[in-house]
Amino acid sequence: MMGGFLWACLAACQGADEPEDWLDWARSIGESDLSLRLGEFQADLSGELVLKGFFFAPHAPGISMEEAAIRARHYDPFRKVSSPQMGGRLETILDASYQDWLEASLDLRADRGISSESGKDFDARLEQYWLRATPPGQSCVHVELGKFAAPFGNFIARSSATQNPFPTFPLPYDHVTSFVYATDTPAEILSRRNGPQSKEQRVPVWEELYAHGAMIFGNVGDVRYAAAVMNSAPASWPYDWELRASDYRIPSVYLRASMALDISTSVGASFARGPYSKWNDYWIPAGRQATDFNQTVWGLDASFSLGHLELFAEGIFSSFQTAFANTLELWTYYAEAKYTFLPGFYGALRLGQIRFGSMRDPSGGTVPWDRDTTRLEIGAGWFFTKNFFVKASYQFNDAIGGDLPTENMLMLELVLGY
Amino acid sequence: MTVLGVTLLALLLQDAGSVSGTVHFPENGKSRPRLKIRYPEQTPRQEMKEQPFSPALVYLEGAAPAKPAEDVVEIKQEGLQFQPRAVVVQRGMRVSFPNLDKEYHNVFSYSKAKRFDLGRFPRGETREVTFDETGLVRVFCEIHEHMRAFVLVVDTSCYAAASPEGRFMLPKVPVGSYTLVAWHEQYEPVRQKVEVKAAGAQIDVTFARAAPAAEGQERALGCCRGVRAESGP
Repeated sequence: MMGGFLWACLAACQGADEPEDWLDWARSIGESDLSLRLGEFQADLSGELVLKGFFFAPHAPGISMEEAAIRARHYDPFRKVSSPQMGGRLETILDASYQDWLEASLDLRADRGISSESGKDFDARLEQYWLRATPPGQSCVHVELGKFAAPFGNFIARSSATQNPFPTFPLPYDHVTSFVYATDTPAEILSRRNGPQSKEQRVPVWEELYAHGAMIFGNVGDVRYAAAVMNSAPASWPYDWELRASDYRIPSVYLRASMALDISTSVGASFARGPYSKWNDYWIPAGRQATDFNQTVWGLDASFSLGHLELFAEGIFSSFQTAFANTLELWTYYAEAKYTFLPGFYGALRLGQIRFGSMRDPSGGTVPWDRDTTRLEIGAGWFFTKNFFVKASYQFNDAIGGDLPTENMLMLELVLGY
Repeated sequence: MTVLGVTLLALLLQDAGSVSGTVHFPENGKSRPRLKIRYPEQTPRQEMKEQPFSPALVYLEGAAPAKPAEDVVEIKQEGLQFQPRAVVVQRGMRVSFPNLDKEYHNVFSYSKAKRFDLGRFPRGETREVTFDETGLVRVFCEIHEHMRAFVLVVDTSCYAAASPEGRFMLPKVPVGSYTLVAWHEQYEPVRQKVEVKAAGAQIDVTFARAAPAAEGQERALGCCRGVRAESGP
């Protein structure tokens, strides 16, 4: 599919005279007007093609590389992959609106997932689809229904390839812990700390969590707010995001508010609580069910920008209720700086840390339930044109304790928007 | 020498007329770029104005370039829109970008004719850019994706922006033959011959086809190839 897209791009350029420079084809694609207006109705098509290269040893850290396979539900935890790997995504978004009060969006993604089951490397699905109404004369209140991004934290709004200065997501949205099921025993959790990680273990907050639900959001003066009920908690697997994966009687609740202190500084707070798993496995104690075990997440964030400098930071506290281990807690944060040195050229630095709470181990003592980890990312990007750019980052990961070697990764990303 | 130059210019302008006319825009079914809120954090903290009128820009190819005016052309950032949406300037002129909003804007362009990034600056401040290459410069805001403006940089002093009714006038054009170029963001540029006499000239221009993509539009304009006005009358 992606090859076909590239071929179509090149073919479109063949019809033109000799180009003025080698980027004219990208400009042509970027300025293509794929829109339609019929009276009060209008629709337009946009999207991006993303190609990613991963260079790592011995294992790719986080879920960046395996994300597509997990989202597509074709992840194979037993498949061995070695560096380098190449992945990609083609995303097409159809936005439509009627007058000023009704909007809809469809987000179709096709991607190549790494660590996929054999023969299922490619997958296409509707990642988002939502309908939004804005009461007439109330531009600060919007009501949304469908499959959309959970309103948690300050990163999701700048998670697109254009706005995220790195090819990867910050540590709190990317790090895989050693916790999986509500029925995990302390021994099981500790045993996973020292083995190669399956990427199907829990992350504190899924990087882009597109679950089903309803949301109201808007702003009152300088305060933005959002409240949502959804069928998934921040750490729920993509399997639980689907429409039929939940009965919605016990949804997850999301609350978020942010406020501009002045034009350059903004602070925000997020909260989410809900059952992180809907799977009633055999080991759940009698009289209880999976939805009795909640994840509770608190987040505080801040951003500052001036001139060519942008700073972002977010701290998150998460706790998981479990059946046989005590409540599992973790603290995690990231801080990010981006500076634009030249028009189209920027450098970025991101630091992330995750600290795990204590758990009673089988011998009766207490130990951290996973390995504390620090991640430092250095990245840079160059925009050839507004819609055609390349990013690179190097990720240093340092985990405390356990037997796993340090995992570092070089990532390259090439993006073409249309 | 200066006196001689002024005398020659005065003589030339004696044989000058104005070019006036009207541009017509057929309905082409193109949508208006609108603010897309994909996530709650993208909700604007202030009221957004309606997308401003986008004028047609006209200029005469073949008209001798005069020294660029010292004036600075202004494109305001107001109500989360660029205002005006399109301007035409002579090569070497400056455009200022004052921010009148309570939110940040970050004006930038990666166009061939000009590459710049003004960074984020607050309400009441302004930044200027000198446009020293001819061509079409597409201007964006890094924070507000729907915001866009156009700076058409030409190598002649005979240019104008048409009124909302489509009317324009190019005063004091020396008598001679020219090509009038009309540009609008939603249509393919139109090139039309015009004969200017001492009594002036009247011309009607009708846009026909939808605008081609960036490269084609610049090519149709010809200005990005460095078309200069060497062949003035």
